[in-house]
Amino acid sequence: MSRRRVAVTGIGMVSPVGTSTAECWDASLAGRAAVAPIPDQWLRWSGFQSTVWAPLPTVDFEAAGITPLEAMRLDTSAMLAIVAAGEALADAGLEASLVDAKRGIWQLAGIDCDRAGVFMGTAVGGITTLITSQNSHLLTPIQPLECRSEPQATDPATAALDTLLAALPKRFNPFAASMIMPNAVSATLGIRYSLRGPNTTCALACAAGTAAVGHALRSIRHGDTDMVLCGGAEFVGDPFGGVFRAFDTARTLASVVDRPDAANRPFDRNRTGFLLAEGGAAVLVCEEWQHARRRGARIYAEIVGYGESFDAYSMMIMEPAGQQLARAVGSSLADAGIDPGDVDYVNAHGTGTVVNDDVESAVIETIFGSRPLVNATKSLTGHCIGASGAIEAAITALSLRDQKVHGCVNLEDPVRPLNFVRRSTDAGLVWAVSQSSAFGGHNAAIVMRQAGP
Amino acid sequence: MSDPASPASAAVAARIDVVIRDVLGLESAVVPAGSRLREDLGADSVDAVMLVMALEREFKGKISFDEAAQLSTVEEVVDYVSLRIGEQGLS
Repeated sequence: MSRRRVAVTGIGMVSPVGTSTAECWDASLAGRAAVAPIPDQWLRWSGFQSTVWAPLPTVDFEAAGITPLEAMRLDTSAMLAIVAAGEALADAGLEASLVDAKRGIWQLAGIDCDRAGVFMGTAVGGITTLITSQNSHLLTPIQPLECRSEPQATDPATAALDTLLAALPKRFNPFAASMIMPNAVSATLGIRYSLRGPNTTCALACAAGTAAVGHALRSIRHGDTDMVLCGGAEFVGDPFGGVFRAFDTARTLASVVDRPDAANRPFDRNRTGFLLAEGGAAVLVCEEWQHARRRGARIYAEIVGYGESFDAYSMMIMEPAGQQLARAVGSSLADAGIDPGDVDYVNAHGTGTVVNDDVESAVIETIFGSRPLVNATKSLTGHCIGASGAIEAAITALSLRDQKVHGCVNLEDPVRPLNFVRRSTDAGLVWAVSQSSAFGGHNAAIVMRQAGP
Repeated sequence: MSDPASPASAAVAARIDVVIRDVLGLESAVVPAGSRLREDLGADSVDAVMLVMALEREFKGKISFDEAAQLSTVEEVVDYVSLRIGEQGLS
């Protein structure tokens, strides 16, 4: 019996370079990268090694169908997931109708809810809700701390306390417990769209989005589901830069050497670290091939292979020989039934850290040689952590559909002589790989094919 | 009890009607004042929390969960909020 095939039929995306798939893809092809100074008020709490990040543009959550009441009980990571999922479903031509206004539950026309699932990646889920709740808890003791509406304090410590108190929410959010949990991202989508099949959150840090897409492939292929929403969502823009500090103090972030807009430079010899993104989300509608064909869906690309492995080496450093990343990529190719020489395009993890780009480029060279085109979407978006793999899967599918690849921004002196894409270009693409690695030691790779018959 | 005929009270009742219909997802026109939140309108414990938060948002102030838990009809909510307006910072 032949294997069940998996089609990508819808894409939704929010990232630092745009609030829709079209905006993100246009910015990618135009080489418009996101970078900005970190907020001034963070500097009150720490002298940071890195002074830049990739903030999100303003996202109109209400326009995306999230009511103000719903927004009160959702972490921003879950709201970003809804924005991307809503766009992806509309893009796939799947109409949603409201069946329970109180709970905000919609039903998708023509979809068997019991055979539809959700696989979403996130690294830290509702961490900003956790931080805000903890601030609210600590700063509102039973005997209230004094907050001056017009701060008169001249000493920095009191001024810092005034800033914290002024920023507090009016009350400790009674929904905090359900907003903090990482599985809220996938549960939010399952509830919102009445999807009652497998509902799983892949908490694999920076490989989460890629793993979510891979597990969606397996679910459909295995026959558990006919349709899946998969991808990733992340939001780490806490108001005082605590999450940024965690990465900064570990010396993983990009430093500004000369120009801020040159700090983020994956695969360049002068790279210094990754550019942290405030957040992002991408959702792919994946369907069993005949399911998609029967309803006349437009198909972006076919997902044909998945591989994963674990370094079992270090929580924060890649295994230096890259053997396990290589094994994940090799498994994905074997799963797809293709040889490395077939691959036309590698959307690399490409974070811009010294170690990642060194190890990953060596793995790419060893497996693929210098034939396939290679780029790093993080050179545009910064690092969206648990959403990054999903954003890169979406970009890979768009590349296969449009037969175009975006450039690696700021790549001037490549770490290795691979076929790096410097500026966006047309390309004849049939097979593409998107790969990710993560803190913890997780590696994941997916293979996609240009949509065929 | 507040005087339902007074314009101020009627305005508060109208605002609360919108909030309750929003929180409970009710499409019908004005919810009768005597409606019981749980038995007649189907409010569950999560809705009760949501109602307090939505009222706080609408009337720009803080409402005690414990006090709100004592309110069982729409009329009682209107009376409670009307009493609190001016007295304790709701507007």
